[in-house]
Amino acid sequence: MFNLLKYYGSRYELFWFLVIARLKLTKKDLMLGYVWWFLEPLILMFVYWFLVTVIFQRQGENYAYFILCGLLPFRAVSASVNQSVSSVASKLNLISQINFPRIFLPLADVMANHIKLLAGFFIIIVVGIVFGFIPSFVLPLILIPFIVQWLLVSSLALFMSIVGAYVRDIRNLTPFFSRFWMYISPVLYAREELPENLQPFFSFNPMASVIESYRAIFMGGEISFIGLLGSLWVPFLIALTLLFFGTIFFAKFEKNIIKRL
Amino acid sequence: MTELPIDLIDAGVFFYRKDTNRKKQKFWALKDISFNVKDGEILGVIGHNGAGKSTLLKMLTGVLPGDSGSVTTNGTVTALLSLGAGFLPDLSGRDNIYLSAMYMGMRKKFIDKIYDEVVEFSELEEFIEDRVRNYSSGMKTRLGFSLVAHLQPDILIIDEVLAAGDKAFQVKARKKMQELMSKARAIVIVSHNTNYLKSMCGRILWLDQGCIKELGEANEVADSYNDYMTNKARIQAL
Repeated sequence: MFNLLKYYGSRYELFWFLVIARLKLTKKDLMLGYVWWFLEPLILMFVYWFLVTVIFQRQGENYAYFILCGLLPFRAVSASVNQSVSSVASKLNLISQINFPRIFLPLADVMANHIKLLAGFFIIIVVGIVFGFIPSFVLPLILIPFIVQWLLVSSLALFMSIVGAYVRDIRNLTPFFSRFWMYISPVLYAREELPENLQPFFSFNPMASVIESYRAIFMGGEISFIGLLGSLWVPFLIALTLLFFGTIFFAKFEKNIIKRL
Repeated sequence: MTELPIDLIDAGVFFYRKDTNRKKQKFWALKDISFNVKDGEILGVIGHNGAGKSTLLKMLTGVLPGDSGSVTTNGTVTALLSLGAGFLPDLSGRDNIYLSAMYMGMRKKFIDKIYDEVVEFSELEEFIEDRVRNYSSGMKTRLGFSLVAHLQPDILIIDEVLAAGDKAFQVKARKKMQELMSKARAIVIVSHNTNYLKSMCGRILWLDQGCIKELGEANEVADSYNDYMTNKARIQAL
């Protein structure tokens, strides 16, 4: 295990180049290029705001902003989950010819999505100012849920990329999986709005506390460093455990991918 | 004792395939392969299609881990079979040079150093900032070859005779190959062309159905391979 990590570490340049390549790829062919990073979340915000306040007639103060704070981070999750199933499967030609740390393929995709999310945080802040939420000194705390989310999604991607390479059908399921995950996370609603008997189950979802932390920070809730650690240490441990087993799982099964060509 | 560049002991690898009854069957693509390549040696590999040549190369580059025995390579291994394998069509030629070289384990510093030479050799200076998607297939091979040719590997693996670009580039490529080969510690060439192998290699390894059929002095093996193939063709004609 240690040797493996050392090997991955020695090739960090490849990892970053893959991340950069991934980010460059998203803007090619598009007239507006990187502007889409900022347009997309705003459009999404509008769509969900329309759905919930106009069609379902749900009233709430600053509801559009409330959605945006959860929606944008979750976009990074669903994009990563959806891409991860094909991150290895789509590179089989390369994998069969060059020996390199294949674990970078899913990890770089996740990283790229989360760098986009960092850019997205600026949108949230700007929109927040429009809605009257002036960013306070607790803003840097945003990195804590961010890191938890990044580790969690990375570990999932390790499993999903391998499964996706062995069982191609899985890619038809992931969009539903990520969508379902979003609906059971407090993206469009708050925890308090759930029926009381469901609320205990809510805590099983590590993304729930992550999203709530984002929202608390961006919407000026009561928040402190200790408070954040208190609500995020369980998701953090889940992420670390999954990451550990994900790395072992990936290393064990990547060897035989090429035999399945 | 210095370590041999390439040393295989009883190496084997198996795949699963479905037999006529659609049952999964294990079959050995390579079995009990033992040979070594000494410093400065050029080894040729021949065999008909499906004999296990590509599988052997994959084991040498480390892409495919063996299921039995051991495969040892000492030094960096670069395969001239993967020209442009890692290219992303939507990135520029420049980005692709960096990406491919990093896939092959090169450091950014090293790539910075050879970058200008690579571009010059490929004769793609004007197009290097353009997307690889817009390259012709000849241009892509040229870029791939130029890159690999500047990586200075210890162990060089070459699949078939290179057909990169137009006539003029081929001449240039062949010359570069000679230079590469003189620098590499060990070379493995896979080809169907026995005359080419005879002229290049000291020894030839003949693979047949995943096993070593013959291994020895180049002329001898090449001749018996030729005899075998003509015989086979004659029998099939009857």
